[in-house]
Amino acid sequence: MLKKLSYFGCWMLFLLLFVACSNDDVASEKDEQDSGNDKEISDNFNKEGLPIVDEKVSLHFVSPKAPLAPDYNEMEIIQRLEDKTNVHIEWDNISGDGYEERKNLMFASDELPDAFYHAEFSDYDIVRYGRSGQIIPLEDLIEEHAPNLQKIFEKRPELKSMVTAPDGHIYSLPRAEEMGLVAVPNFTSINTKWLDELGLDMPTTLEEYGDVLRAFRDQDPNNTGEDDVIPLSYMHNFWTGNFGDMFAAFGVPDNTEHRIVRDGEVIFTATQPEYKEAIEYFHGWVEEGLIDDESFIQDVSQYFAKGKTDPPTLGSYIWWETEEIVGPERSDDYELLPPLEGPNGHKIVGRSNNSEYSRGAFAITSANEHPEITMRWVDQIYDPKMSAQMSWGPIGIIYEEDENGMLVNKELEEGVAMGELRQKVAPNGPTVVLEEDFGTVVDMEPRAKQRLKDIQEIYEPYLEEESFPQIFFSEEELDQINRLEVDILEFVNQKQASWLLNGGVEEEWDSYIQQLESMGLHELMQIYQDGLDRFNENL
Amino acid sequence: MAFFHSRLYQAAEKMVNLLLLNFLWVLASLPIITIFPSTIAMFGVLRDWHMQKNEGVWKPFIRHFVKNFKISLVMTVIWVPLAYILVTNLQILNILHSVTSVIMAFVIGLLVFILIYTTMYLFPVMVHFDLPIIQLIKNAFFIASSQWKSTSIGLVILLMSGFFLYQFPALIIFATSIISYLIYQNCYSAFKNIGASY
Repeated sequence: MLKKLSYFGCWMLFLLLFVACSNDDVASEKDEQDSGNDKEISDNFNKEGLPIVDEKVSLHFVSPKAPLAPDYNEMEIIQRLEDKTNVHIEWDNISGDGYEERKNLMFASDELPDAFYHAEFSDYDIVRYGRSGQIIPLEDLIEEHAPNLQKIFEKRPELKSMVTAPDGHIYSLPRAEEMGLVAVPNFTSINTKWLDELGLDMPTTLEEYGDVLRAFRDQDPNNTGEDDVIPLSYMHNFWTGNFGDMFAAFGVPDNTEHRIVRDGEVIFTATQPEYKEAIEYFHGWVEEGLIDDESFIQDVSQYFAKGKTDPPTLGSYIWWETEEIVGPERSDDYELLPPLEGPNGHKIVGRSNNSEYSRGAFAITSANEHPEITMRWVDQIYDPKMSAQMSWGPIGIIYEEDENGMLVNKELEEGVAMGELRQKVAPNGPTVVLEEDFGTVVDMEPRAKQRLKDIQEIYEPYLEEESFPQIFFSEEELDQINRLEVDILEFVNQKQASWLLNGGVEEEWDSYIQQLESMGLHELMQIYQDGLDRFNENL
Repeated sequence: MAFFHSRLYQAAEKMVNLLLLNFLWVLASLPIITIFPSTIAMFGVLRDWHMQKNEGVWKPFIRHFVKNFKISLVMTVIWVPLAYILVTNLQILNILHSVTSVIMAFVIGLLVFILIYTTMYLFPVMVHFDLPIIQLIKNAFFIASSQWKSTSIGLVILLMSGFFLYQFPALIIFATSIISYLIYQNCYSAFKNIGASY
């Protein structure tokens, strides 16, 4: 009896723990079966035309999603794609903040979906998983099954060379959006209604801006009789709405990578004397209560909520554009703050290292039994018109077609903010819209047109010349970068936040520089410099 | 204004929140069968804090509790009999003194050990990754086995907390959330490591 009990105990645990292994066995058995069924599959698969398969096929995709987005199967554009192709996608949508680790976990435990959509793979991911065979080379599949993408590669050979890994394979598909918008991610908006109310002019120097913020803080511009005004809020080290261009007023613009290029030289911004000076100065602002100290911790939805309080409490803020934060009905009260002159006479706008091209937008895994179906499916998205709809929203919700078949924006309902609506209806992902497609296939949306105009009029005269290009480093270099950069950036960002909030940059500066050197900053910058030199030689 | 931004205030706020969280956990665990759901809700709140979604204690606790209620009951049904069987087996084998029983005791002891360290990861993995149950157990086991550094640190934390709780049972009124917070932090660093060490 006792023995029986203990055996039973063992069996329970073994069963539990080794469900894992048995899964793999099932998979390999299935493989064998499928190879037997090859003929059947090829009958079902159409090499050209639509639908892609005669009998419905189901694929399992993993994709991160925006905070407001529903499950992708509920998105109209995805449903239309399914009707067209007869391919059903089982979406595993992971909310943004857990995606990175979830993805790593899937690769580490070899628990892979058929494909990663909007995969956001880093170069390191691509090279490493490509080598381990967990994501498969796509170049042959592209040639055979992806006419739309082929066409794009013919028009933009640089796009093809960009996705080609150092070992010559293409492991991931590109994403491109040639709008000319990404160079300046930080627009500062300021409440001009309050400026008028308090009888102040639009500031032109950092000093004047500080005075305006003080006035916002002290003079109760929203007439509540309470101390509820946030003079300035932003997103610490976020890709947009970060504080880098405020630092620029001291001579060296900062960005999330703390890496800029001047005359072909790579510069690490966070060790420059100008950076230190800027930190010292803005610490004063934090101490005075001019800078919202939640800037360092808030997430996007909290930030958005700050712009929509009743009555208004936001004096000025930094973001991709004006409207998204404060909403359409209030955006007329805000205007863009032109670049400010710093204490030493600098007036500079940083050029971000963000590119309009990216790799790693889509990857097919070794677990996929229908790579050709998958490739044909994803190629549908590379049709410019489809790309536009995936990126910005479908016909009927965001767009309508004009007499030439061009996509033009529909009138939005009153009170709907485009950015938020878009998160709900557009899944994004592997899309390419080229410069020549704007105005022929898709009308550039008013928001983007406006932004382009703002960049040209307000920022371009002061814009830095160079930025760090998209270089595909070799595996050894990536290994080094990966080893060094994570810790360095974390240290720098944490120090930056701590100095801005609590001060102490003067006392800690020397040991900070020393610490960075011992963490291998010099080595890291050398890799970037070598990469850039190589890139420039090949131009 | 300045006071609310001071470190002291923030630290105090955190302590109060941890206390409140612990109180909620005790309250929600009172029907015994809800210990798992309640623990998961606690970890869910801790994760929200860690991810800097500052939205207090009550609302997120209830949200996580409701959201994970079903899956955590299923887990209770698997876990409790398993733990019960293993532990009673160990006790019974302790009394016997044949060679087979020593070997059995060793094997079962090992299984208990595996069960403990997998369980340690179970809750953090659950709130961080949002997985179906088989995947959940599998991944918790996988991470626990592959991240030895974090697993050892976690076991030390568990051992020490176990010791203190045994010595001063009253600690349970405010220490569980703190212990869980440490365990979550520790597991989170393991999650971050998966990509790097692989």
